[in-house]
Amino acid sequence: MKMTNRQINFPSLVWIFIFIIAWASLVAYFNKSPFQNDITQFFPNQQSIEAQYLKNRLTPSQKTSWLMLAVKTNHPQQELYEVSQAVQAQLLKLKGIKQVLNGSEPYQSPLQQSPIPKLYRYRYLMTSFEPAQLSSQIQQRWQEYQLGFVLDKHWLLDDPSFQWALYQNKLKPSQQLAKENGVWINSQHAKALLLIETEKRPAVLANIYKQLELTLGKNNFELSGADWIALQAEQQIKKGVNWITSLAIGIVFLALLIAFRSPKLIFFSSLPLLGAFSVGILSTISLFGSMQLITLALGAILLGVAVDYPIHTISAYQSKKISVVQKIWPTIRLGALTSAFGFLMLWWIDIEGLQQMAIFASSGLLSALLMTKALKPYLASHYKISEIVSSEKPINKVTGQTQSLYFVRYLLPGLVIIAAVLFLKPIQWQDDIASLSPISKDLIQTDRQLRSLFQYQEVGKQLLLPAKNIEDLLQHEEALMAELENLKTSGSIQQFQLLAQILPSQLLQAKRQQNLPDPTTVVTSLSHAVEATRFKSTHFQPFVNSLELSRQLPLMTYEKFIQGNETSAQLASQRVLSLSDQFIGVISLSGVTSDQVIEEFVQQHTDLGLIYFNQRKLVAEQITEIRSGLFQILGFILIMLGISLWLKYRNVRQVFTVLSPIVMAIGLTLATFSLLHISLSIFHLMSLMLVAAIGIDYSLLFFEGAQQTEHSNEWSRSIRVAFLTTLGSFGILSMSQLVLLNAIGLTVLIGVLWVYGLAFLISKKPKPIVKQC
Amino acid sequence: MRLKQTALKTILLVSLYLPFTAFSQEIKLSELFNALSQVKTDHKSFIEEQFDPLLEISQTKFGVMYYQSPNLLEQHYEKPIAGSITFSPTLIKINFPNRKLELAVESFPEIALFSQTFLNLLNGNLALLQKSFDLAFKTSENQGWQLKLTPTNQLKNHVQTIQIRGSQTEIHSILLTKISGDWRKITLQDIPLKKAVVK
Repeated sequence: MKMTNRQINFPSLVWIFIFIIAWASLVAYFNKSPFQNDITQFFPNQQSIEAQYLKNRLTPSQKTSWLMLAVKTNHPQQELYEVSQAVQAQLLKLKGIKQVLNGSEPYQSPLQQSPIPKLYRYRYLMTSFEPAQLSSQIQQRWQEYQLGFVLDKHWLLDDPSFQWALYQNKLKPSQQLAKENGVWINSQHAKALLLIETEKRPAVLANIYKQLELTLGKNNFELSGADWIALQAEQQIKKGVNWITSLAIGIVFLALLIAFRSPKLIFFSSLPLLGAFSVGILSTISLFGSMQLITLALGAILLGVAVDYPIHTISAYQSKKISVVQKIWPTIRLGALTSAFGFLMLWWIDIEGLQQMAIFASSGLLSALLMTKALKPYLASHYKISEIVSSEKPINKVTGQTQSLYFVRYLLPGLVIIAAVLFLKPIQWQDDIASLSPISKDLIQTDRQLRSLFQYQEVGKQLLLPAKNIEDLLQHEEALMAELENLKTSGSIQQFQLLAQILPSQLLQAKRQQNLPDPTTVVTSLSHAVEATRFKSTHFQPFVNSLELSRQLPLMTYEKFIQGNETSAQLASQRVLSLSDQFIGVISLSGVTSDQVIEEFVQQHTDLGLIYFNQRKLVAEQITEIRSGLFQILGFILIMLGISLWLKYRNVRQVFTVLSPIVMAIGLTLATFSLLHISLSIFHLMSLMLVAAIGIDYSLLFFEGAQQTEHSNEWSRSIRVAFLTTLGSFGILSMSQLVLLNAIGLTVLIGVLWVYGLAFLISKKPKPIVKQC
Repeated sequence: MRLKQTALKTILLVSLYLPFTAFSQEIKLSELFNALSQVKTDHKSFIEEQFDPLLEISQTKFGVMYYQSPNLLEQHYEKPIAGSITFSPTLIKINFPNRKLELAVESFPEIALFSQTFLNLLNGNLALLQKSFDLAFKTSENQGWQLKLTPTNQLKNHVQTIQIRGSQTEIHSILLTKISGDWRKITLQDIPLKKAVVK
């Protein structure tokens, strides 16, 4: 038997892709949900109660989605309740709808439920029972009994004061919405109100809208809810992003086609970018377990520089001189390495989202560099040049004869101009994240209106009450309740919700328990109460027994309460937050007419540690912190570039010559924005990092190209192609209506224009004297 | 002459046969519902008797009942409490001293069932009744009839039977018997002309 001794000799590029595919398969096998969308991963790890609360409330926890719907009639003769019933019936037919509430839901007797709610037996501890009112309550029950409107006789006899119904109203505030004809109607606005619980799938939400549009007509309903807004934002982003990114990519390919006139070369130049994305994603998921979609979106912008590496390399090969390739490659490598290490600096901002971006961008850039190197044999073959090392020795030393005139001519005036502009017109920072939101003002307005109609708490209008334990928290909340009621009466707020409304403190429960009358007293009260009716006091023996049982019940604890049922657990999770060693009570406010009144209220209760949670203000503070971190990172990136250049040139002036266009370009970009009265956000700052990454390539190539005695055209040609592709793609982005894309596009456009112009100018004059080794 | 005799014989035979035809004019269920469906509006006085075996309370209420085809049924109580209850397919409106309420029919399924069944009966809507009940129709002497409705859907958990008695195309009483043993009987009477006019 003859053994074959042939080795399979795959080129390195193929090996890289085999490696990427194997890695992707492993990640896909072990990680079922590799992409997440959790905005809190981009928030600083602040220790303040407000910051922790904000992070907690923005973490998605609900499995289903609730939508608010307000409808009006589309025919004058049609009644609102008819529309409400018809819409309810139609929506219930749709797939993915869990329930549609319109106020007509039957009120079920607790005794007919199976099992009987655990909290039912605690009704006399959960609510305040007033023995003095028993007589009038029995009279009322008798009237209902006579009319035949008794839901369950056994419930009537067990709970004649309807304590359970009182408690249910506290558990389900929507039951307090005004009704007309048995359904929720806001007569002031002539709208029927409905609540829809659906599966959290965009298709289901979109289908609801479609159905409503079909049934009622576009102008006869208003729909809102957190997930609905998120879906709208996503659609608006998709709409805005799809065409503009397609156009930007088209421009890049067109520029490449004009420059290289070969589809094969365009294919080659896209491979490093493809590899950069793949390795960036895989590295991030492997290290963090998952990747944030925001990281992917913003990181992808940073990876835009990766397309320049094959462009520079192909331009060098176009000279058909291996010596040019050998000279240009170390410059490309240096640019890529410094950019990769620069982006890695984002790791030092202690925010997971930005740390993911650091890994994604730096591993991506290194992969792009590696793949560009792996492309070289293909390019050599394409241009039919030998890959052997040229006998022409590369320049390895540039004598430092840069004249001090350079500093006087360019650097100094440039810095003075930047300083003067920024002094006279300081940068305007835009830290209100809402201003960058793609959500339309109409959608936000609709949401606000619906929240008001449903008496829901407004987003970001909460009082936070810290306490050592639940009992302290509940007692403090009970102490505040009377004054909150006063705020309600005075019209400063429409409604408030807190935990103590549905779970009284142990102290209050014990007090209520002590105040419950003994059986003899109850029977005496009952015998008086039934006098004007045909009820007998003996009919109410279950009630006497229930009261006696309540007198002996162990008090309801928070732990037992949340185990009670799904509703109480869900409500508790909304009204209290456990943070390390303390509990934070969340008092939701709706219909706040004056922030000042609330601020004053909080000031009056500083002893309890009451905090007014102002989400917008807090987010702005956090953005300021991120901005300051990004500024530091930008500084670190520039220092990193300086160190890398020092290691290459060992000459301060040469380092300055290469570095100064980048520093000045960043400064001039900021000054340009100031002069154009454009407020800057963190996205402008992140884009400046890309300007630095692109700038180091241009500056190095211009500088090195200027040292060449021959084939210097290939150097400048390579920069020109990269410059035009960047200009085209980011120019398109800058025209986007989406604030985010506009910020990125405009920053890179202005920054690249400055860095290209400055690097070109500075590399020309003064021309250093080249000494051959 | 012969013609005269034949005519006389015919008259005699017809006159003898007529009482028989009149007596055997037993109304059929479809005819009854057809006749009921022709009535567009009506009002009668009623006596409502109720018995609750659990509390051993029996009650008797009086009032006037108004019906307007197809969806309005109103009970105006005069004794022991003055007030009204209006039933429509989706809503129950209660208007009593210190008590004004509008309830969705879904909130009180038993009451809704009673009013809806009553409306279906007054509307002569046989098909709708047959959807929820087994119907047993019996006629008796003096053109009387009895219709027994036995629920076939989830209502059978609460309601045992509804018995309606009447004669010709008139409904005399409706008796609702619950599984719990509670019963409610409404007896309808024509309103004296004078009172009706005043009303």
